[in-house]
Amino acid sequence: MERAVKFVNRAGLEMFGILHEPDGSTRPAHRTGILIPVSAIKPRGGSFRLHTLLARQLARDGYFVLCFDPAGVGDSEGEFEHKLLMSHYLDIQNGRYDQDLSDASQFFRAECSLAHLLQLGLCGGAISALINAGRAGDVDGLILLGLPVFREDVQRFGRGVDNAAKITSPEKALDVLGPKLRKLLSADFWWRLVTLRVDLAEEARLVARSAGILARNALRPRRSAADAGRLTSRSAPLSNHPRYNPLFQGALTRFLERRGQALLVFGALDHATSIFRSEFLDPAGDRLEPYASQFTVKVIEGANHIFSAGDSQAALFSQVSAWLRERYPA
Amino acid sequence: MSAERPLFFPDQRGHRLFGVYHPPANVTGGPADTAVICCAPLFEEKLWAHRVGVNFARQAAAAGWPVLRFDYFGDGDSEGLFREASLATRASDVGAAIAHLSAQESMSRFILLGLGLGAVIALQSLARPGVLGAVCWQPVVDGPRYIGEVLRLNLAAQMVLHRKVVRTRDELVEDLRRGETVNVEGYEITQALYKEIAAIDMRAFMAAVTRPTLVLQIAPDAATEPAYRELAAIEPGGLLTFGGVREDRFWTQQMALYPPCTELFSRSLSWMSALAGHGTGA
Repeated sequence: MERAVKFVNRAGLEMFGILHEPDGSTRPAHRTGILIPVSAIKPRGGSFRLHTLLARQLARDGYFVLCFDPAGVGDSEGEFEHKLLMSHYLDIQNGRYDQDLSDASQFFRAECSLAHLLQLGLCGGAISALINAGRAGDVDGLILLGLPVFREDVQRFGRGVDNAAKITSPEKALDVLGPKLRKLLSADFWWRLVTLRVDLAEEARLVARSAGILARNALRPRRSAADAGRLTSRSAPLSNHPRYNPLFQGALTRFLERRGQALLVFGALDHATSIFRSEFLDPAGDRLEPYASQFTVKVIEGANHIFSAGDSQAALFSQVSAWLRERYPA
Repeated sequence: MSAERPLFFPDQRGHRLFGVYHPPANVTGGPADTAVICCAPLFEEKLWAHRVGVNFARQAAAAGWPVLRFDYFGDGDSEGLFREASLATRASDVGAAIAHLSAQESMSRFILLGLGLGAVIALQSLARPGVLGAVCWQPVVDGPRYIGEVLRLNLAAQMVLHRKVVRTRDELVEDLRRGETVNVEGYEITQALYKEIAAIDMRAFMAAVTRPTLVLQIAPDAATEPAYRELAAIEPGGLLTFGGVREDRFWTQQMALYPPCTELFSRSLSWMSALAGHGTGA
């Protein structure tokens, strides 16, 4: 059963959400709630109602789910200043929704007498949930979809997308270079080149970046004994990429140190996947081993950033359900 | 707590539809006897435009208008799946919204306000009892062209997945004719929806309107689109009013978020007030 709920945040603004409750009775010790914040600016249901469809399935599986709009979004009160969308994305990556998430968590726990509280988010919703869980101590589990570890580069506004910056791993570099090398054998490419229809500057940036990544990887020293040991919230950043979000690593490690459970799901076609691997997962290596029982990463083949294809959604729902059944049986 | 009331009401097949009712502020001589029913667009346009719709409803309610925003069957927080809904079910849902306001709020006069395909749905519902007229924000004028652009998004997704187009637009249309669905940004388009959208001819709609209708073209510049110039030339007995407002195309992804839409709101409210016989009201 679904019902609309309202609660007031600490700023005195009325927040709005849809609460999905499981049919039938639930055992008090197993009452698990999953809080779903918005991804960025679209209302609580998410793109193509992904949140709503997922919430309905999870309620059928026996979980309480609250999809809610933070201040200024959807049907909640509050205003944003008229601003660039990418500035808002950056605000989110810096914790814009953190306090509203805490207020929603508090409301949700009390409203449904929850024994366990989890948060689930996609993209901006994932980093929002992670920042909140890292800071607040009352989140038991996280389900993070397409988690971005980079922040928006607002300095680039008006200069187009920085595609080269998205190449961070040797796999991605080969992925870019392979087709470009094959293009050299194509008459069409050369015709486009001589008729000035190839953006040579962009091509040069992509090739240089890819070659640089491959060279850096080849020259990178093997892990030393000094790198050994558990990754902690006091560890130095694993990436020196200028767009690496300083809040991400600290929040995740703090959450894991508190014995939190995390499921991370990525789409194989999503840039965020290779960036997560190259900037965090690979450099962390064995240092994540102490958290192995708490930390699960899944990649869904053929899925994009928002899991829009029907089979991607089915695979995503299946992964989430299976992980919940194992960790938080309803 | 604000006076806005989230609610569920039944459609004509008994499914729960979600809506938010904005009761009118107590304005002396206000238009509280005429309710505004908002008809949302489809696809991601609905989500990008959501907050502008909320802001309009709040401004209208503050000016004394009762307003209902709601999700069609298969959309938003209403029951059903997108692939189970069509333009016909959505037009039927407008009837359910009217029935709800009649029964629960004792309303008998309505103005329908729609954006994009929502404007088409509003026009399809114009003849319902009690409807005074419609406000159409950037209605879809050329159905075949619109659905063609929607299907093009599927081609873009194929390029990401396969690095080439494996099903051309014609082949996608053939898939639809065979009864398969086509996924566009997560929305499963059916043959029924495709055919309904492809059949939209706004010129024919406009030539046949039976109640006052305001059509506003929304564009960041003052230029009138050719399709709207053609519409403006149609004259069905003084019932149509055309205009253009300068606003960002807020129903698609924009560089900046939440334009204030001052001109769009004030033009709409002024026209509605004149229609309902309540002065300017803006």
